[in-house]
Amino acid sequence: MKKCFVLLLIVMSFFSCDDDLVSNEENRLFDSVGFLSNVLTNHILPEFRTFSSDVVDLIEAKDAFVVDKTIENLLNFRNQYLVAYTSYQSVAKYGLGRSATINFNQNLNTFPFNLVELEAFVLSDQSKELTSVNTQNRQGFPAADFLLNGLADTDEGILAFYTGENGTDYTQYLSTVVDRIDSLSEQASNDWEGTFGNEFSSDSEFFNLYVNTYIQYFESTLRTMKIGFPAGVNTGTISPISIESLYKPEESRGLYLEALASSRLLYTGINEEQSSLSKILINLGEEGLDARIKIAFLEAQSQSNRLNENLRLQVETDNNEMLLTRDALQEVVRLLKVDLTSKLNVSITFQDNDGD
Amino acid sequence: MVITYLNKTTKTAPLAVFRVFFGLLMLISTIRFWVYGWIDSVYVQPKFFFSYYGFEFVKPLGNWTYVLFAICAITSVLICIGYRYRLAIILFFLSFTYIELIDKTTYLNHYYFISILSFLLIFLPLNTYFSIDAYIKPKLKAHFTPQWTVDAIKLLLAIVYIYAGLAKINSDWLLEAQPIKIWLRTRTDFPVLGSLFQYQWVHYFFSWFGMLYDLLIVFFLLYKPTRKMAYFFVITFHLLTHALFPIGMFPYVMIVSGLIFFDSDLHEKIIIRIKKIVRIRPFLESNIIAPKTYKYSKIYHKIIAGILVTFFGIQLLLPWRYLCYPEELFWTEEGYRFSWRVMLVEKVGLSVFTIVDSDTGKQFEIRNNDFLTSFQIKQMSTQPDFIVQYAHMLRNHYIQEGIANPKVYVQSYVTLNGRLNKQFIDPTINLANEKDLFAHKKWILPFYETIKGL
Repeated sequence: MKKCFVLLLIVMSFFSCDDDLVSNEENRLFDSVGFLSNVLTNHILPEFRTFSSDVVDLIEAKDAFVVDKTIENLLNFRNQYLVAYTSYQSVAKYGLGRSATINFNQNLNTFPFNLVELEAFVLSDQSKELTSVNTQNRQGFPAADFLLNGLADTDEGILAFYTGENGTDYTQYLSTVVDRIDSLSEQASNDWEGTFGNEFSSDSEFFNLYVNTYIQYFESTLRTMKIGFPAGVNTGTISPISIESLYKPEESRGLYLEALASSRLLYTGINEEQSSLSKILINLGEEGLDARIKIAFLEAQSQSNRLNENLRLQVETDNNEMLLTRDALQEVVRLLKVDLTSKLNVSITFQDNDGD
Repeated sequence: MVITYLNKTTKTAPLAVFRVFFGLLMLISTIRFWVYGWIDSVYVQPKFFFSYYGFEFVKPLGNWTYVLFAICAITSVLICIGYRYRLAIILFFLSFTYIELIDKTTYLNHYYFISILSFLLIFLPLNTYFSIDAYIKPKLKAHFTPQWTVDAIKLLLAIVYIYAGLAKINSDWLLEAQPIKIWLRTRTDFPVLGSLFQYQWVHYFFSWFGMLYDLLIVFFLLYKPTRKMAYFFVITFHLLTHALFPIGMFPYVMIVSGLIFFDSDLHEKIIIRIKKIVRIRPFLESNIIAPKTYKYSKIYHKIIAGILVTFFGIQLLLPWRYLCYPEELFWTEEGYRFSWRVMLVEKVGLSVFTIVDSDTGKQFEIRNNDFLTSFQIKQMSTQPDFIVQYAHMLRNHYIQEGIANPKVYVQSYVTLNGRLNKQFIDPTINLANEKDLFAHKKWILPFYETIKGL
């Protein structure tokens, strides 16, 4: 037995000698830590910073509106809401760490917004907290969308809700919705800026989880929730009210395109020098697959550009374009989920889970 | 010659040691499975189970599965200490095999190995030495045993290794170093060896070494002058694979099983060592009765001979059944299981099912996670027999939901050993009407390539 150990040690030391010769990290064909730290510094942190600052502006706009309920302040509030909702599209794909434990995405963007017994809900105490799981579909951006765009047909009509009989309750609810967006964003953002960000960018174990999260976001949120559900892919019946930004439907395509572009950029990388999934494939000699994925992304984008900016209208008038878009996204899913994971030896730990 | 061989005897110690370690490892792996929460996630949670062809009568037991595992654990202990051995090993074989038959999603070559090994062990006198049984019933005690009882275990191990080696003689494994290449090149963070894993030659080295190891190791273990060196290789090889790949307890099973090739001296020493560690006095002093050879009764001997000849005959022939199927084995997986094809393919698939209501023409896509666990989805996506079984389950489900004639279609794409994904199943075939038989499944699309080799 002792002999065995001695021999084992010799073999080990032989390999470790060799190790010194080639352990130059830069030269590695596959460097998961380098990749993760690049994702953190060039994608996650900048995107979260933009989002956080947009949320700060949103809070200010909200405060101004609460103090002085004028049409002008409403319009400004609405404007800030859209800015924040747009930058949210980029950070939605990082459902890891604290974002996962606080259900960042479920709380911020579960749509469609729940209209059942709304008035009673607004008047209840629940609407002043929004911390319960049952209220996931009564808060976040879809709730803000409803409260800023959907309460009435005209701006005056909407304003009347905040100044009328139950005005205090509606104002309070709106305020809680925005404050909660702020507090959840702050928690997620601090986590990435602090401990979790450090762990994430220094431990190769996160590579698997990261790729899984990325593909899951693309499949479940981007493909299924934003396009598949409204197009009725899983039911056979179209569901126009399942679109994002239902109460200002002309913004729905814009938000979706933002999410798609940001996902694509995360795949390709911001520039040539940085590590990215694309770069990793190229380094491993898988240029063919990389090219296919890039083409599939471009085709998905160009098909998506053919959609009406109002996805509700698109579904109601010509759902076939929605189905074509969905197919184009599915092509990306297929390459990512089948080929990319296989080539990178990433085992899929979820399978088209819809995050519900 | 056969008669003289059958009359040859050897010390019983190797069998006793084998029994002790086998029981111990089975206990550990049962506990491990339990502690990881896998009983729940694999056997209790799923709503649907993929039965083996011909074993549809094996039903999931819900929470009673825990009882089955408890039986496995208890019998493992009994096997280890050699108490009521025959009953224990029979119960172990039955409960373990029942668990395996519940859902083929969990099929692993090494679970199959445990099943057939425990079947073999039913017929061997593993409790005649260094066991409670022999202590209680001194008449049972035997220092010697027919040589073939030890050799039977060696033969089973030889079949496992050599068939695994033969299966590696194919162009993907030897000429492309696949799937080893895919598995190693992203493991650059692996301690010590990691930085080597990016080199092509390392992938080829692992592939060729693995093939030669599997083919030859048994011969080096059988040949006394090379035995120690060979066993050192067994330890290194299996520990390395254990560190690199998620293959659970299998490496330990093989490391411990390899001991059977050593002379009885080593096993006697192990037994003395165990006795010192365990310190059960009466048990220690049970060596007084004169040496004796275990003898099977005549009738029993004949029956066992018949069973074991059939058993090994099946083991030798089963791996070749793939030759009866057209098309590429790695692609269709027809005749793939139960053949020691270990770590040969890296497959990932995506299978999206569509239900079409024949009466209304309405169609919609299935979300697989409404019906299957992610583990089941993963296995189902790349294996045609799973796909058709699942399609039938969907058909039945939607008939209950009120669709009189549901048609089931699948868009299925699979990647094999680093090739770009290809469409796997004919998307125009209504799987609701296709049967899951042993016959070749014509609705599997061609692979359009050949992987040369056995």
